[in-house]
Amino acid sequence: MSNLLRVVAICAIAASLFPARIAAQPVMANYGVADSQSANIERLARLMTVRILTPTASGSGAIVRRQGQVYTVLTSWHVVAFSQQHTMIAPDGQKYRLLRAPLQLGNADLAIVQFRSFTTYQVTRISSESLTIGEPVFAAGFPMYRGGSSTTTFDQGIRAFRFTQGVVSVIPPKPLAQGYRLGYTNDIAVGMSGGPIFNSQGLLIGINGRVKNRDPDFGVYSFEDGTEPSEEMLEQMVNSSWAIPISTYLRFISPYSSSSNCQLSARDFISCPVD
Amino acid sequence: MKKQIERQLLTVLAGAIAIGSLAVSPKPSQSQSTSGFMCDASSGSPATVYQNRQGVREVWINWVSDYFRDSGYDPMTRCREVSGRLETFRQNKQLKYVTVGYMNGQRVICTASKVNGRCDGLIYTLKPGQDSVRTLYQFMGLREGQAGTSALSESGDMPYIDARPRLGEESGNSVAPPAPANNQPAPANNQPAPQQPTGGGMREL
Repeated sequence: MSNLLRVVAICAIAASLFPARIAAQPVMANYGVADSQSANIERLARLMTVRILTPTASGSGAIVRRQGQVYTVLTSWHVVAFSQQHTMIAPDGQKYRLLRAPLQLGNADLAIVQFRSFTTYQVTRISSESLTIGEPVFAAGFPMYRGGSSTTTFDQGIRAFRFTQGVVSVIPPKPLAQGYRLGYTNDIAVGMSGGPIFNSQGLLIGINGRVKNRDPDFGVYSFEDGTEPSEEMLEQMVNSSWAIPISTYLRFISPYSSSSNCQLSARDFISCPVD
Repeated sequence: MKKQIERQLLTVLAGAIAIGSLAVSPKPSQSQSTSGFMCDASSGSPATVYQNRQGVREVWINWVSDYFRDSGYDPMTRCREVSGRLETFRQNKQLKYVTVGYMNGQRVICTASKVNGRCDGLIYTLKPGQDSVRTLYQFMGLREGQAGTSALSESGDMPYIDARPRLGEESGNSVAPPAPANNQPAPANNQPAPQQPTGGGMREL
């Protein structure tokens, strides 16, 4: 009889495990996040994600700071680097020109841009906690092309918004080139570069930058110091989208939020405390 | 009583096995062989397309203009040639280092064998006056999967003739030269700094 009980227990465990596994596959799952919570984060994301248009391409951005009428937006450096002409579309559809040329943060594929407005926009709250593998994350942005085609979505403005769900999949021991150090399972499309990634509390944890599935021989999964990941890690890396973690931005602004340490290049962007 | 429990157990067990076998259905990773570069003209105009291991197609280069069809290089021919070269380089694992250099006196996007290495495999020739550094960064962006980089737009002709006077300083020429260091994405450590397109030290290969 005790044998019978054991079998019952095993079957019960199996029955409770397997349905969860299949349920998780076709629907791409909610990773333990309630639909209502995900909907709240999506609502939040729509309020603080901007679209950035250049004459030939487009990207996304996240509003991270407000000083009076000046808003600071975080985006990918590659979104703004090669154009002198940028139009920013705010979450309410209003268009703005940038206040000044974009500023790259160190060598990272990360930049800050600014615009001025009398309208009040929501500012993203930033997470200061470290990330864990498997934690649910939400990526937002504006795809450049209509699904699978080469027709652009430029004329759709902020209606092109996309929001995807996934989990943190790789946190490599050292960064890839240009500061990429957060792998996640969310699908992101071209045009979502610069868009925010939130954790399940709705706090900003990173900035979208690279799509999945590069050919491993392209060399884009090498570490910044030139060394290569293990076979096992490489496989995970190839199957992940890639982001710049928000800690890169926090590190960059920390000297300016303490005091008297304002460098000329950043003075226009960061307000220095007047003591 | 015992029989009944056993029968129920069997049902549960069968269910678990059925579900279990569903859960381990094979992954579609066999499509690996179909990934790579190809010339795709299905959308009307020829484009060099990279199909990744999941079967997703990304347009890398649109072959647009058709100025020199008479010389035998229409966009379709050029698309086929360049896509073929890229696929060969991909299969030979030669796309890790790309740079700009000179071949036969013309500026080209090419492969190299190491960081800052010399140009040793022609990917494609640039038009005279085209901003080579910008084109290279865009090419590297596509290779990296930068989610903010659009497809390159290249002329369909083989630019063996300096076409500037005839084309009236057409688009490619008006691109501003790259601004000083601070204004450019830093090339990754594993990527070569583009060879400086200055007059001295040009490589004729």
